[in-house]
Amino acid sequence: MPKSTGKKVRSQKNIRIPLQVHDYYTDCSRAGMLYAALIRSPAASGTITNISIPQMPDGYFLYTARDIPGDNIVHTLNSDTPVFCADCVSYFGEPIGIIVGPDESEVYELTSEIEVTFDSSTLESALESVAKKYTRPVIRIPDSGQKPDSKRISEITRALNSGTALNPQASPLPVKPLFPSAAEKSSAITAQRIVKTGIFSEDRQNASDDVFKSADFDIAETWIQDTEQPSWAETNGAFCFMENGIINIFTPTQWPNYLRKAVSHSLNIAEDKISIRETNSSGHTANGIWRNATLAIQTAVAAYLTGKPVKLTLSREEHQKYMKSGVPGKVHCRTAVMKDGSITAMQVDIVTDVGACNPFAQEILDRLVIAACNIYNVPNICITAKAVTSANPPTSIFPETTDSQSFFAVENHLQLIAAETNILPLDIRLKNICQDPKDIKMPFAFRTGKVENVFLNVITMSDFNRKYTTFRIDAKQHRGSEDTFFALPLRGIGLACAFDGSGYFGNDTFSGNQKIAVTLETDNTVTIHSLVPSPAVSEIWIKTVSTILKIPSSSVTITPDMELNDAIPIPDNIYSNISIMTQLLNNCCLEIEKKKADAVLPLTVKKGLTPSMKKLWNKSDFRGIPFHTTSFGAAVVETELDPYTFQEQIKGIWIVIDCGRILSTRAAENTIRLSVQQELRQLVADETIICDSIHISFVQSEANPGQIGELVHCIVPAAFSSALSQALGFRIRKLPCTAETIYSQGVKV
Amino acid sequence: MKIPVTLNDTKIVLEAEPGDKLLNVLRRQNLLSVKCGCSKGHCGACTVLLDGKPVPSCIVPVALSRDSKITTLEYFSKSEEYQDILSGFKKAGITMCGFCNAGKVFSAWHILSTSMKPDRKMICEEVQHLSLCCTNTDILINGILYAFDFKVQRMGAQKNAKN
Repeated sequence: MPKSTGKKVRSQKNIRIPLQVHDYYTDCSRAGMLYAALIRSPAASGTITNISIPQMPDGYFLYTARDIPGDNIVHTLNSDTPVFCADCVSYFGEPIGIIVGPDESEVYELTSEIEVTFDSSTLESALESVAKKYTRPVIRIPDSGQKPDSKRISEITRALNSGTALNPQASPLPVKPLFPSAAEKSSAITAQRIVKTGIFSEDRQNASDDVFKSADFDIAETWIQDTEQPSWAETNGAFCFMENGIINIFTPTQWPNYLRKAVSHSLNIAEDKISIRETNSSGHTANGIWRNATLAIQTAVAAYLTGKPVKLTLSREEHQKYMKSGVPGKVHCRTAVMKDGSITAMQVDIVTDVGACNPFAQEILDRLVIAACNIYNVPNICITAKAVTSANPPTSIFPETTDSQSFFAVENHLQLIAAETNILPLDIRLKNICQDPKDIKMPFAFRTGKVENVFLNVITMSDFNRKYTTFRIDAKQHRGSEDTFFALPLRGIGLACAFDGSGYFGNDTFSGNQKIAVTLETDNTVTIHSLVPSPAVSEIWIKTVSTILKIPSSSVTITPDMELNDAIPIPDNIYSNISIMTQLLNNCCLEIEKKKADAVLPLTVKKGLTPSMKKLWNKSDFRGIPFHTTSFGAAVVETELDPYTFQEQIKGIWIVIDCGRILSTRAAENTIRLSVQQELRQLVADETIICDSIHISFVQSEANPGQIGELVHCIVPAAFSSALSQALGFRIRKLPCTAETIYSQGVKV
Repeated sequence: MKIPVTLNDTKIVLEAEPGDKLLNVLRRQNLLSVKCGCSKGHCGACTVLLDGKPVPSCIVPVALSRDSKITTLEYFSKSEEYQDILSGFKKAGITMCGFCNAGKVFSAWHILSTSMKPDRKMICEEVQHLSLCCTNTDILINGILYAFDFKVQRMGAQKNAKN
């Protein structure tokens, strides 16, 4: 038996691997690297009948579904999507194969030469699809005593050869197709949520009718927010290579553990033979949770089969067409309102188009439902929401815009109510906010802090009430006037508010899995064991540790290395967000501070969410407190239209936010300003609105710090459209609006 | 086609098709500070100095750069001006994300080198076309103003040292 040398040897289990690299995947390269491009379906539905391939030069390869060593399935939560389309096309641009080769332009040239022919989804091809699900008929050779019916046999043989044989007598085997056809998928409801309270829960048709009949105002409108930020960030893709039997994948993933599992299934190799490196992502539209994973798998397949480094980078056009951020949808609101402005009943119908597939459809829908009535306390509510599939490309979840459509609808609707009832928008809101927690009639509760303070601050800063009244009088005087030469600019002002919930408890897979560990090392430095967050959050974390443990900031490091067997199981942006992780970090530091005098260094403290927190939300009843922390914000936007060109201008934006304890005012303000700047690029199609007058204020409190980045995307669009509606005297129901809409309505005014 | 250029102070001959974008040719030279953003010349991620002027390399055919002097961020980052800009950006809290750095830095350099005393309005007009992924316009303006201060301090110190 060999003697021990006395040196400690790290077991394979404890090998630390860097999960994050500070590079963009597009900058990664290796000698002999091949470039890749996807062959995409030129139609939205149909069955592929033939792929005609040009003569491939030496060193160029084409791989399709049949070349995948493992399963041609990407399993994400409860959804299955193909790596490459094998048979039935589900959406326009669905990947059918991948071409790789040493010259990038040649690869694209070859891709354009490939012809895919298929039957479009007509009745004929649908029947053919059905036929494929039947087992082939069993051909019985007649008994020797019987004379064979030669005519019939030849017919069957001919039919079999042509693949159209059907035996109507044979019972079809219940063979479930791997993926449903486009026809089956089109407009199927993939997620649904219904919430009813008060009179609506009685399921009596007349009762709900009565509540609207008895109201002084019955106001209904449909609102659509389909804004998308024009982003020039790095396009999606991946860089993969094989080395020492391990496949290395460099990609801007935000869910490495999921990607490792998915690659393992598709390549049919063990998970420990896959190394995922999370590269930088330069924008929120990185699709890093799910959609980019399919591209990474496709690249990994090519790298695995060729044995060479392969890089797949989507062109800007492909990225914009097939990797769209956000889920389009529309929200119909109907409210019963009394003369004093109190809303007695609210009916909300939400329909979202999740494209061919979206594994997060239920969560998106639930978040939209929770936000449907905002913070208002309405005694009778009926919210029905459904997510339908379509032949559009698959969609994913984006934290910035998950529930913004509901806020857009409800806040515009409140402004509409204010206009109809002749009550100030602020008074309508204050009237419908629950003043006493005992009077809550809504199934959802939020820890929104000082709501009234937020409203009062934003109203005072912007001089909202005076301007709103003046612009209303102006608008009335303008209407019908033919004297446009001396016309005043058309002006409008809008108010909107929203909450930003972080740490949603409703997700079965992820909620409550957030963990963080902090080590006080022997040399009195501190290591935070976590994926490195954004620079702003990193600054906050370092400041927090430095303050609590009384050590210089330079002694604090954030280490993205995680033990192999303890790789993060959840996407690291939505579910490991600042508020929860910062709170957990705070708790770790407090415990270290308490223990450090008696403990032997290094001292490590780990923290995660406690079960009692998760119980705040009742998933089965869909009621309770859905978020770990909630921040609240309000925005006022003032617009002005040129009286001759009707070019819109934003005269000022005022934003007030209560997000609990602010850890870095500068970082918070920068985040808000950047979000406003991004939002101003998407309000009017193909236009960027410039605003030099942005005023940001925070209501300070000692509550746990909340998220703020997404608030702007929920409040600014509604405030803008309300302001524009007032200026034009025409209801802007949809964003982004177009210059043509504004001009045509302006001319009418 | 052979295209002689002075790339980062070194005379070389680029091998490319005349219509190839300068962006792609530079990236093939492993100059990765030049990033592919909008491909339409709006975002600034692909900015390089062509004969001392910032240009979006994504819309410049490489043939146009014949006999020109091209400077990328890799080379520019060794200069004193870059240190002024970096110090100014750091003071303003600007993140150097690595993707839109060229747009931020070369825009700042252009303003600092063409204006005797830049003001907010003038800087705003120069930078508002940039579609930066990590920095808002306001903070970028602050960063450029701070960079101007650092530049003035450095030049003053150099002048004093000479005297």
